[in-house]
Amino acid sequence: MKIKQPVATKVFNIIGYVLITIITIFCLLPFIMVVSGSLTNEEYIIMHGYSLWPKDFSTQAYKTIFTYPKQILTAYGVTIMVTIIGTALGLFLISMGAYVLNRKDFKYRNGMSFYIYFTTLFGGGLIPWYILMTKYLHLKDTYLVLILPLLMTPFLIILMRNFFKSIPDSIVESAKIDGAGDFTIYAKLIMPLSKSALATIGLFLALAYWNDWFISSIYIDTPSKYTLQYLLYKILQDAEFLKSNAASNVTSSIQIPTETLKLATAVVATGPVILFYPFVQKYFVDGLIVGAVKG
Amino acid sequence: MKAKAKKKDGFLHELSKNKTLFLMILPVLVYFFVFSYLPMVGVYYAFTNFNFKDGLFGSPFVGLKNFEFLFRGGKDAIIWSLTKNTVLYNLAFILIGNVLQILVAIILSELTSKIFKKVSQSIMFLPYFISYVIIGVFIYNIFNYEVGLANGMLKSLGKTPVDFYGKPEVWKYIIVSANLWKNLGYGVVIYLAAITSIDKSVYEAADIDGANIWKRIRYITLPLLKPTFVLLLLFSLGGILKGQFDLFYQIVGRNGNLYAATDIIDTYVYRTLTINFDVGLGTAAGLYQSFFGMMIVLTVNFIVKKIDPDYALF
Amino acid sequence: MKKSIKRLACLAVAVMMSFTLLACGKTEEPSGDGGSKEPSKLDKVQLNVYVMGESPKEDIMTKFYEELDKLTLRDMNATVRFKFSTWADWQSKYNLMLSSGEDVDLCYSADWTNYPTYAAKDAFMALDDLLPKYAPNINKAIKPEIWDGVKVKGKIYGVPNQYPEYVQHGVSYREDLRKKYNCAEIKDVDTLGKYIETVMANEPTMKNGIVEPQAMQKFFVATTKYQYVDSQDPYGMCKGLVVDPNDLTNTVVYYGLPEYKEMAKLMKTWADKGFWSKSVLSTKEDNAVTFESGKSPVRFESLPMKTKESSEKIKLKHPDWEVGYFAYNEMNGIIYPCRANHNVMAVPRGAKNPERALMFLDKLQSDQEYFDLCTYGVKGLNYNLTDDGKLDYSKIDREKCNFDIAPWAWRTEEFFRKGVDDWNKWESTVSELKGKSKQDPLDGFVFDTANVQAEVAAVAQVEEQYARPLESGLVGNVDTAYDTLMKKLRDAGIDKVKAEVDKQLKEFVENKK
Repeated sequence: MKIKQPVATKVFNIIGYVLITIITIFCLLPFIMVVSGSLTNEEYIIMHGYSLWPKDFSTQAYKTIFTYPKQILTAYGVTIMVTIIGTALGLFLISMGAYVLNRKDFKYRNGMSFYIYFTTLFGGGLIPWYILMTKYLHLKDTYLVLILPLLMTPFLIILMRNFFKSIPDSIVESAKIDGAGDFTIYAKLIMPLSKSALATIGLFLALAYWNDWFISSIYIDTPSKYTLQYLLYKILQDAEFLKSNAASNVTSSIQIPTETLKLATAVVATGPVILFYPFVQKYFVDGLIVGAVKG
Repeated sequence: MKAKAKKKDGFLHELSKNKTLFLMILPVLVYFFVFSYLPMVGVYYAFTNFNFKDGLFGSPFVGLKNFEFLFRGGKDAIIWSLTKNTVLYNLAFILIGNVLQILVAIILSELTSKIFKKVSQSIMFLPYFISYVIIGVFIYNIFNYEVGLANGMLKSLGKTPVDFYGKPEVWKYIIVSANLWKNLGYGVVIYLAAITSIDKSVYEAADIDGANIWKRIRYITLPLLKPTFVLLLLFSLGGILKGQFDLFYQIVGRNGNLYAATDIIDTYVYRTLTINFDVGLGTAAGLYQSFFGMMIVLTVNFIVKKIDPDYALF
Repeated sequence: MKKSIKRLACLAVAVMMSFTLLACGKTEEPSGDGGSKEPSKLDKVQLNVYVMGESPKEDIMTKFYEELDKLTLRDMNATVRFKFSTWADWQSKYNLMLSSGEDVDLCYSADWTNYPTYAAKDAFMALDDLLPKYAPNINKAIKPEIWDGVKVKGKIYGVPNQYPEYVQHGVSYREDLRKKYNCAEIKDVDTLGKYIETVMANEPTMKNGIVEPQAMQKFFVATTKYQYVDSQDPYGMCKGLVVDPNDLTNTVVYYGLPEYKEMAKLMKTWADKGFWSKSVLSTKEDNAVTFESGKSPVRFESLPMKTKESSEKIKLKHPDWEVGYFAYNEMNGIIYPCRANHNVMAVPRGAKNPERALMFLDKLQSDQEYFDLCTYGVKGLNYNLTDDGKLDYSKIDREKCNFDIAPWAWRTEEFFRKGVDDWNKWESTVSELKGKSKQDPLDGFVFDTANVQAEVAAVAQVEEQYARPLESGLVGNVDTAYDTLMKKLRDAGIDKVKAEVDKQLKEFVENKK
C-alpha cells in the first residue's frame, strides 16, 4: 500500500537524488581512472597521460605485483588475521571503556576522558616510541606489534561514548534496580542496542588495520610477516628508487612500470575492502528509513 | 591536610563502590599510559642539543634554541604566516567538511531507494582509498598548463588557457576540495550512524503531528546531530596546527611559486629537516603545534561546558 | 552470577597484561660484548651488517650465506648477516636504528645519509685506534688525504671505499638525435640550447619534455671559476655559497654573481620557448623515466653512472638510440673524484663486535673472493664470468636470480669487474674524467651549522620559494624577481651564514697545512 508523498518530500527527493548522483560521479570517475591507468601501458601514460578507458592495454603492472604470488597471499593472510583480531579486541576494549565514561554515576569520567584525550595533543615523537616498543617491550618483528599500536584511539573511544549517550539512562537504572551487575548491563543490555555504533567503530578500526603500512615498515624485518599494504608500498618504493638512482651497481635491466604500478597497488589494496564493505553497510543504511516505516 | 585525606578517602570509597567499572576501564587507562604517556618523555628533545653518546637526558640542555628556526625575526618570523595558513586550511576542512558530510548523511537517510543509497554510499567511500600520491598525480594531469584536462576544456571553449601553477590563490580551493572529496565517505558514516541511533518514535510522532520533511530535519535531526558535530569539532581543533603533510606535499610538491598560499608548518619543517637534520628541531615544532592546539581546545571546551555540559569533551 | 562477571572482567585485564608479558618473553637480551680482543683466539659471534636497499630473495640469500659462512668462519670465526634498510621510509628507519642502539656492527653511511651530522653527534665509534690493528690492509691502501676526507672533528668515523667515483654533474642527451639533426657537439650552454631547440622542433612528442630545469644551476656554476663549498649543494648546508678553489677562505654568494642573473634571463627565454611545462615545478615526473622513454631530449641532473644505467635500459627497448653525456665541469676544469665520505662503512655506537666488524670489512676490500661474493653473489647462480673476467648475465634468469646488496661502500677499483653489456662510452668517459681530475681541496670540510641553524633554515626556505622558480624561468619579470630574491636572502641572514662558513673554512685550511 502506498501513501501519496507530500510535495515537500517530492522536492526533497529530487534535490537529494540529483545532488547525491553528482557527488557519486565525482567520487567514481577518479577511481575508474585508477583502474584504467593500472591496465595501460606505462609508456603510453608517460607520453599521453591518463584516460577513462585503457587505450594501450597492458597488465604489466599487475604482473610486477604478482611476480611472487606466494608473498602476496601471505601478506593478505597476515593483514586479514591482524585486522580481525585487532578489530575484535579493540572493539571490546573501546566499547567497555566508553561505556564506563558515559556512566553518569562514575565520578572520574571527566578526568579520565581528559586523560585519554590529552594523548592526542602531545606526543613524544617517533624515537622514544620506537625505543619503548623495541628495547622495553621487545615487540620488534612480532605479530603483536602489528596489533597493539592501532588497538584504540582516543577519537574512537570518545566517539563511542558519544553514541552511548543516545541510550536513555533509565535502561541502566532499572537494570540496576533489578540487581544486574555493571558488566552484565554492558554486555547484555547496551551492546545489543548499539549495533550501528559498533559497526561504525568496527569499520574504522578495521580500516586502520587494513590500511596501515607504517608499523610494518619500521617494526617488521621478516618478509613473511609483512602486511599487504606495506608489501605493496615497498614494491612501489623500490621501483621508484631503482628507476631514479644509479646508485645500484648491478644494472637493473628489469623494466618496472612505476606509474601504472602506483595505480595497480591501489586497486589491489582496495578491492577486498570494497567487497566487504556492503556487509557492514546495512547497519548504517537500514537503521532508519522513515518512508519505509510508513509504507 | 584534612582535605587531602578526605579526597583520598573519596577515591578508595569510589573504587570499592564501582570496582567493576574501574576494572572495565582499566585496560584503556593502562594502554594509554604505556603507549602514549611513557613515550612523552621525548618532548624533552626539544630542549636539548641531542647527541647519541649522552642520549636523551645526558645531552646538553639548550633552552629554547631549537625554537629559533621558527621564531627567528620576531614579528616577521616565518612561523606567523605558516600558522595562519595552517589554521585557515584546517578551519576550512573542518567547517565545510562537516557541513557537507551532514548534508549528505541527512539526504541519504531520508531517501527511500535502498539500492541507490547503498551504491552511492559505497562509491563515496572510494576516494578514501586513493592515496595522496595518486591524487597528486591526477591533479597535475588536470591542471598542467600545456596538456592538462582543465586547459583542454578551456581551449575547446575558445578561452585562453590558465597558468594554474603560477597562481597561488587557486590552490586554496583545489587543496580544500581534494581534502573534502577524500574524507567525505568517512565523515558520512559517522553522521549516518548518529542518525541511525536516533530513536525512531520521535520521527513517528513528528509524522503524526504533520511536520513535513524540512521541518523534521530542521527540528529533529539537526539538533540531535549537534553533540556529534561538537565532538568532531573539538577533536579537530586540538590538531588545528597540525597540517596534513601528505595532502600538501603531494599536491604542491616543491613549487616555490605556490608557497605563499600553500605552505603550512608541516611542509616547512619537513624541508628544514631534510637539509638541517636534527631531532630537536622537529620536536620543537611539534611542541609548538601541540601547545597551540591545547590552548584552543581548553578554551572551546570551557565555553561549550558553560553552554551545555553534556556536549563537553571532558 | 556477579562473581563470574567480575572474573570475566579480570580476564580481560589479564589478557591485556599477558600480551605485554608474552612480548617480553619473546626476545632475550644478548649479553656482554662478544668479541674478544685478541684476533688469534676468537669466540664465535654473529656480525650484523646494515646496508641500504632491498634484500635479494630469501632462497638466494640462503645460498649466499652458505658460501659466506664458509669464508668468515674460516677467517674470523664469525657469521655475517645483512640487514636491509629497504627504500620505504629509509631515512626514519636509519635514524631509528642508530637512536635505539640496535644490534648492528657495521652500517652504511654517506654524505647523503647525513654521515657528517651523525658522526658529529657521536652516532658512530671513532675508528682511529682500531683501524691499524683490525683493518691493516685498508689502513695501508687508503691514502692519508682520503682518510682526512672522512674525518669529522679530527676523528675517523667511517671507512671509505677504494673506488674513486666521478660524481660529475652533467647532462645526458640523445646522441642519435644530435647527429640526425646536425647539431653541433655539446660543449657549452649555447650548443645545449641549440640542440634542445632543434630536437623539440622536429620531434613533436618531445615538446615541453624537460623535467627539473632548476638543475641547470649546476651547469652555470661550471661556467664560473667557482666550485660549491658543499658537495651536496645546491641541496647541501652551505646555502648558495661557492668558492674559488685558489682562494678557499673567501666564499661568494652565488646568487650575487652577474653570471647568476645572466643565467636567470637565459632560463626565462628557454622557458618561454617551451623547453619545459609552465607547471614543471610541481611535476611528479621523473627525469630518468621521461628521458628513457623518449619524452625528454635531455636528462639534466645526470652523472656518468646514471648515464650508464639509462643507456643500458634504453638498449633493451630501443636498440637504435644512442646516449651521449657532457660533464659540466669540462668547461672550467674543476673535476674532482667524489668526496671521500660519499660512501663509507661506519661502526654504530651500539655495535657489540667492532673489532670483528673491521676484520670483515678489511677482507671485503682486500680479498677478491669476499668482494665477488658480496658484490655479485654466488658464481654460477647469480652471475657468470667470461674468459677474460667480465660479468656475463646472458645465461642468468635476472628476475629470479638477481643479487644486489648495495656494495657502494666496499667497492674497490682493483676488484671491480667490467660487464659484457656496459654502456659503450663508459670506459672512455671515466678514464677521460680520471685523467683530468685532481684532489678536491675541500674534501673533508664539514660545515657545522650549530651557530647558524636558524639562518640556514631561513636561507633554504628563500631558495625554494624564490630561487628555484627564477632558475626555471617561471617568473613574470626576471629583474624584479631577482631583486626580491636578493632582498629575501639578506633578510634570511645569508651574510651571517657566509661569515660562519668563511670562519670554518679558514680553520680548515690552517689545520690542513
